[in-house]
Amino acid sequence: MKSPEIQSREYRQLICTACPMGCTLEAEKEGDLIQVKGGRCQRGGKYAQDEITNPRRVMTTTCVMEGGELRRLPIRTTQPFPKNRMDDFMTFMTTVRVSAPVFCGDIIVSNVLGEGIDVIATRTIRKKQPAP
Amino acid sequence: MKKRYDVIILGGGVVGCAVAWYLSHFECSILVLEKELDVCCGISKANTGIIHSRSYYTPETMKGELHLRSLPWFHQAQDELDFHLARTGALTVALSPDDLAYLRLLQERGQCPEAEILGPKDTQELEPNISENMVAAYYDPQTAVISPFRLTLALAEGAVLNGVDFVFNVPVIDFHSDDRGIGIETETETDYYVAHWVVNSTGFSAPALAEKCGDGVPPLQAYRGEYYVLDKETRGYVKHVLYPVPTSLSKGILVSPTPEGNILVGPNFEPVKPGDTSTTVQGLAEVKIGAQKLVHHLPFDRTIQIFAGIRSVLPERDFHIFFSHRFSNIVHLCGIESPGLTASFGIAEYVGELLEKRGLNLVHKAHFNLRKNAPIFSECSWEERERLITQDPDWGRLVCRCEEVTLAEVKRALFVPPSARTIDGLKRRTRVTAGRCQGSFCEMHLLSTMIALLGFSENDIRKSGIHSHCLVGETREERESYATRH
Amino acid sequence: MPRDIEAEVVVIGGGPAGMAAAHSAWEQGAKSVFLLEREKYLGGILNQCIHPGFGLQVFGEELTGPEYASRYIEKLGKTGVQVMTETAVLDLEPSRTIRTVCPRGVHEFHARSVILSMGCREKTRGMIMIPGTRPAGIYTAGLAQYLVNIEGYLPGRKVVILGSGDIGLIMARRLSLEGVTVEAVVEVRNSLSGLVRNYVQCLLDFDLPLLLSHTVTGIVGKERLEGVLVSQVDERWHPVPGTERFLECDTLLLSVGLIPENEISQKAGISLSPISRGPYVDETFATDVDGFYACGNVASVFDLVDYVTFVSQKAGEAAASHRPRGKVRFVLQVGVGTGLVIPQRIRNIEEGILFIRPSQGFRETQIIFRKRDEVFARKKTPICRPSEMIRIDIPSIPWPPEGGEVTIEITGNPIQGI
Repeated sequence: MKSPEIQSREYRQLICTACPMGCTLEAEKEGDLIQVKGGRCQRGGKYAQDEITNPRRVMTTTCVMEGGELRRLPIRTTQPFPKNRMDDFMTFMTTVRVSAPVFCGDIIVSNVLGEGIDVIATRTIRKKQPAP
Repeated sequence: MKKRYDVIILGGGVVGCAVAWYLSHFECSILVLEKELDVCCGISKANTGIIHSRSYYTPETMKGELHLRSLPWFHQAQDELDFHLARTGALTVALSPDDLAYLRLLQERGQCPEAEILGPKDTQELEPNISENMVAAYYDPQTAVISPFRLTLALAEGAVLNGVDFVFNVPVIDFHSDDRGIGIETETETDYYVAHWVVNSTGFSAPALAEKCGDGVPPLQAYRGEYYVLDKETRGYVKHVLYPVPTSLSKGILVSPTPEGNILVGPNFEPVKPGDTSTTVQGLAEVKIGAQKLVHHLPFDRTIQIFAGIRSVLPERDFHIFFSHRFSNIVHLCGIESPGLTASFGIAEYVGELLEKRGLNLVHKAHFNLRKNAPIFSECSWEERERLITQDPDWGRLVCRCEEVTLAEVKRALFVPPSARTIDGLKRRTRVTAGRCQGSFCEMHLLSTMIALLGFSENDIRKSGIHSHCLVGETREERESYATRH
Repeated sequence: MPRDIEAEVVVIGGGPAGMAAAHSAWEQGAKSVFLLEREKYLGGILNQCIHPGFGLQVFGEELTGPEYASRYIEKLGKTGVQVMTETAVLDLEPSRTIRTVCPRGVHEFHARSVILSMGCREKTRGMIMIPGTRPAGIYTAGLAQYLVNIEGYLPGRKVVILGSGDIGLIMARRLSLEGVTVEAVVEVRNSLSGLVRNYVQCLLDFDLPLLLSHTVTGIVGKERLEGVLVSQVDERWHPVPGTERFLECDTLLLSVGLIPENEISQKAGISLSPISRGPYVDETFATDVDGFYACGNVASVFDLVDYVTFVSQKAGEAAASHRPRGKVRFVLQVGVGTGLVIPQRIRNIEEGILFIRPSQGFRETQIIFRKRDEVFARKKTPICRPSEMIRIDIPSIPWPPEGGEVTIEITGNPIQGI
């Protein structure tokens, strides 16, 4: 993995995803000070700041459904989740099993891995009707 | 376990199944041993699917003799097996005046009153998209096209209905003299078979098995043929089987409608290592150029699939059907190449005669079961559809949108023996995954249907062969962290 | 015998396009609206797109695919739209007779308006004619996505993805998260096909290699895929001899393009554009056959579901209003630099949006509207990419007073690389 952590003085190239322009940003970090060059607008600076100090992603995956019409329940985090803990998140989600019925928006895990973020169901899945 | 039969047929290709079905008319116990998981997995699965008429037989050869012998069988077989044959007719296209002599030869051989040699204008009337360079064409109304899968399956199902057993996934490795016949040793230690008569119709493996019997056979050469399948949207662009004037090696590159409404283009004729069914850029280009000589603007941009088939060819370019020297009751079928599909009934009848000479008593069964084809939903009228759905709602559940195949048809394929156990097995029986989306809309439903109805796990789902797993596991299983992998 | 149903509007296909069209037809006052869906559930492709990125424009928040579908399913539940799932349309006539099958039987609809919203399908290995063997382990990206996200099955452990479109990129991330090794994403173009955001979040986040100007030139493996041959390509996308190398993998995912599904449309005599491979439509998404509308990916493959919803609302309203169509005033053609424009016909210049897809990426872009030799409008945008349609309000263009054929050209500085 490309390490997002920056040592005392470090350069990093980033592609801005704040808008479709896809500007290449040159970020230079010295101590707590981050300078960003190359963006066409102000949003690039904010993007680079976030990407370097605290990169986060909305996580989506599925977990095992029990007794439902479908075998898997799609889920997501309600807020962007720390990128460096993606792996922990995925491993944790393999342990989660949900019983039908479940409704789109139901909280599946509260405060996942202590990050203060919830995991919610993104689809409604009814109980499987026994075969006639 | 030791299992005894009167006749054991090795190989469940079209020839093996035809022999099984033919012999099932008589009082004898029959087994078909197939090394793959289904019938029609080898040479039989990839060819032009043409029932070549009398005009195209090769005189003074065994393949020619059995070709002619086979043709009258199709009427009886259609009654007994209920398979679909589309009598499209054929045009053999002369591209230069030098080719005319060959057209006359075909006419002579064909002895068909309705056949004729047509000038460019008449030919174009029959086949408007034919190449403008064509100078004449021999029109033969008797040529037909068939699905090689459906013919093989009809034969296999017809055989099962009349008491024939099928065993799959059992490669034969050796033969022994047994006190009551021929012992057949297989790769699975537990299964050992004994028969009075053995038919070796294993296609490419036939010489190797003949070798096991101590019978020398000249080596088979594999010739690969590459094909294009065009979308059903092109239906009607070509109406007849279009043959070029053949080369000394093969019938040449054809353009042919299929019974399902696609257009099939090919094959070329390239020597390859046995089993090499790869398509190649060069081979496909050759097929394209060849086909464009017949139909200049053939819509290759509507290609939905490419594939290659193999022909197993002896140096003498003829069938070689003979008894083993060491085991007098084993008959070997080697070099069954084109027109093997057409000749399959003739071969079966001939093999029956040979076995009779070695003591098999061909006594007709008092009762012979006719096979009735199940309805093909896409070809049913709306009234029939309504009736079928009333009987079973699964007829109203469309699994495959491209070929309009219903869940009822998939279920039938899974339960009528010899039943499908693979995705390709379902394809060959029902045409799921054979259409323009090539399975991207239905394969998930096929997998889950097999898992639900057959009690399969995801690891039991195979495309075709025993090692052709479609899935490797479930997402919930222990993940390997991507961080540790980098 | 088929059971007959009289309907004001029948919508074929219950994905995002069909749901939006049916909903807006109802809102517009249509009395009997039927929504026919082949699968068991409404939502279409959205159900398997469990990643975020949907709905910013329509709902003002970022949703996943199933959530976006749920919103619309909920909205439809509050209307009188009659939803028929597991219902497949097999026949369609120009007279707007529709024949369907479902587990309850055969139905024949007689509709005043028909909205086509069948979506699209993926290009396959056979269509792009990759030579080699035919082992298990070759999937279209969408099928793999269904298997992973809906069924919970893994198609393989070591994957090569052909095509850097968004589905390919999204699957690269999804499989990486599930512990599958993604060997490479191979792209024949010299630039990314998908969104930059997906490049960053799906490939860079996981350190996955992107091979631009490369393609798969061979399939290796007898029963299960054992690897693929990958070659560099020249500007004309022809493989460069001597560059072929073997990449070991057990799975190849194809994300090489989508084709609108118009086999049923053709039965109604609707003519298709060879460029979009969908029906020729006007600004209300009416086709050239009276009473037939086509919206969403069946008309042309859109890159955002929000756009699909927008155009489908338009089609739904028009289909329910049954107002007589005016004459076609402008016929739009693609010119240099333009890959596609939808709609291709304009009857009324007072409404609607033009969606234009550039044939390659440009910076400092100009979109030029030309009638014969006369340029009558120029629009500027700083950047455009094939992965993102340019949108222009039809009323914002100074259309010439008399109608005719209009060519749309795009110029700018070509983008290479990402």
